[in-house]
Amino acid sequence: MNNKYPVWFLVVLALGFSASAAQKAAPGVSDGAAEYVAGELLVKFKPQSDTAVQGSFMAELNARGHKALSRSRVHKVTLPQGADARSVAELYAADPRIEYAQPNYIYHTMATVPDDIDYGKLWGLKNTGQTLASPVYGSNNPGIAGYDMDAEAAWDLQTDCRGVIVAVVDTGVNYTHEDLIANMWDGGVTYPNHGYDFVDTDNDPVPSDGESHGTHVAGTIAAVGNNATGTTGVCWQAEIMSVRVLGAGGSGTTDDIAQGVDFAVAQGARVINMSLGGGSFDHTFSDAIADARTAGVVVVVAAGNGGADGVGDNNDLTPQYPCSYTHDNIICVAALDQSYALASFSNYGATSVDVGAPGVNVQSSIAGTTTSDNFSVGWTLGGDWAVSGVDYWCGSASSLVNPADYCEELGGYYAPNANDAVYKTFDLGAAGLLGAGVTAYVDYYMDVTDSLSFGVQSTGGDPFAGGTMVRINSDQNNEVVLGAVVAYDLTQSSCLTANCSIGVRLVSDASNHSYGARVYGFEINKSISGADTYALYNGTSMATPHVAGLAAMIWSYNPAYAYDDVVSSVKSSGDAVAALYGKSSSGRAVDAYKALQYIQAPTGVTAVVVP
Amino acid sequence: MEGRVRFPLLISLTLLVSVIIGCGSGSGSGGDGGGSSTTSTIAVSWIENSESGVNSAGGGYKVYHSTTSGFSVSGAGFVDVPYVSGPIAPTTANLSLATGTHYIKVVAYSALNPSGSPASTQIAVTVP
Repeated sequence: MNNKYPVWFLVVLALGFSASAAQKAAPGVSDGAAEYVAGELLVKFKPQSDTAVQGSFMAELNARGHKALSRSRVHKVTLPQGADARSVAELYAADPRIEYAQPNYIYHTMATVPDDIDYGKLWGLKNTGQTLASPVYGSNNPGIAGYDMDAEAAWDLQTDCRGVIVAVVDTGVNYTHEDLIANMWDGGVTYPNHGYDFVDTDNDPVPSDGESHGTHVAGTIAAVGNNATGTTGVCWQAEIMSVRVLGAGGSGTTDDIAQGVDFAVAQGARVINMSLGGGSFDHTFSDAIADARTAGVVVVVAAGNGGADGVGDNNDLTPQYPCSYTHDNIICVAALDQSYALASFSNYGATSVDVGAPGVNVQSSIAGTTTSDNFSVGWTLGGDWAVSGVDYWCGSASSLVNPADYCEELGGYYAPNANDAVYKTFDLGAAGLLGAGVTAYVDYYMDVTDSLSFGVQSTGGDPFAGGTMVRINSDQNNEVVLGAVVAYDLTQSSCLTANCSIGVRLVSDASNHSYGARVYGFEINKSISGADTYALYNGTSMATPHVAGLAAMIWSYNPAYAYDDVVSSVKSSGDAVAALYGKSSSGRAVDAYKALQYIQAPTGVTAVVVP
Repeated sequence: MEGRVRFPLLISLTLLVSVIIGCGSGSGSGGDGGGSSTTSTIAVSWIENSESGVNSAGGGYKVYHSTTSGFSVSGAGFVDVPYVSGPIAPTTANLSLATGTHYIKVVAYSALNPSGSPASTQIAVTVP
């Protein structure tokens, strides 16, 4: 007596099964452990099962068809609509007429995995649901496995982006870094340092102020891949051109940026990465991008990180440039987190922002080191300067304050006729130091006739006795400013010495005073040859190079492409992501494999009757 | 009671069949044997795609045609225009079509992407 479940029961069970898209001729299904062709069963009959027995077995399965393989006694059976091969195989496992029954499994090429030591941190290229240690973005860490650019499948097809020069128009690149040097553009004898520096107007775009931003961006595009070192870029091999247009503090001006774009185009870059932005329409900048377009260059830019409050803004309402320019060679990129939610800081825009890409907890190369100073050691406190930072107005941020009660809610004015300097001497004389800069935040309430100044002195001691100084507060108005950024290039002021003293001075006259000043967030940034350091960063600045690298990869794979084909492929081929719907023009997160797979719709179709 | 209930096949066994109708003299298609209406030759051409995959082994184009405007290429008749040799796949095809108005769309494909690109904009041609 046959006690087996009839096949119709299996059909009912299988109705809830989700098969993959019907694009393939034989759609696969997966039970989580293996993929197999839907509706196909492989059966091997025992030697004693003659054709009559085989026939009745097929009839029992309600097979729609069957075919003998060239392997002896193995048949491929087409099961009834909706039947699940694995379930049927298990059901007939002990059937005396057969040796075995199994699904028709699906096999793939092994996706290419590079051997870089920190590859496992690069969730944006391969998201395994990994947890990033010491994250700089806490939400959705770990994220969701599979939410990435699908780089491994793309690398089966293309790892080498040489031939498509990518210009990093930024704070400079420490091209001595172990994981970048082999991928730097060869500028020949004219540009032996792989680019140009428009901030210092010299031939060496290494960050002389220690700013790591550009070095980190470069690593995301093209850290050398599969060299058992550090990370890998989207491209394993590449040509990175470093164009320094941003100085200390990460700031730059129209003239340097526009000339930087022009330089990149003139020297043959086909992709320009600009992880930068500002809030004003700028004719000079816009024209430089238009000229890049005429030259067939793709420009990839950051959407922005939400401004002063760090909460992402709508670029369609408050334009950010270059993101909000309408040139069609621009791709503007928002930042996604490890679960492909929009990063909290990321700007967006249904018209101005185009795609999303990974932009939190991004591991990449940096220029050297960043050292924070909490003012507890080595500071000479002149006049009314004091160290504070536990009271109401200062929170827990360690601060230099003048007067001493600045942080208290009812603190008083700074003293009249003051000449108060506070400073510390730093050893910046080490060999291998390619550049250094200092950045700090300053809050101040200053009267116009009083001055707050920043100073450096290369021979130690009080920087304001013979050093270089720059005024912080206005000499035109009384001012209240919170969060002013002071950034100083110590290389340019010749302070790369063993006794570089750095400080702040408050000078007041006899009349009209105010609440004073507070210095906090003090950091010394160093570009170091041989440091070969890496760090996690957040930002649309980090999402942008994921896309710039992808543009280079697409162009390497399809050399006949024009700039608009590359842009179209990036925008059209990505994965539809809920977080980007209504927040970007494409609603998509870039996908490297799909971009290489993507084919543009044919154009220019004509049909004529042949007489 | 012996035996078990045979499943009467409530689920339709109608398969979605991709009908390949021989439309004419494009390479790789079969002729349709004409019929009683007059057919004419339609020369279709398009601008070459730039993808390497289209212009290498396994790549090419499919020229779809229908007498219904706005037709979906899924299930429509087509002429296959595969890459053969040289720098690019062919960008022309001849169709044998009967009297009347026909609508044409072209899709590009590659070995990596056999289902191919989005369809081109539709064009119309009237066969006298």
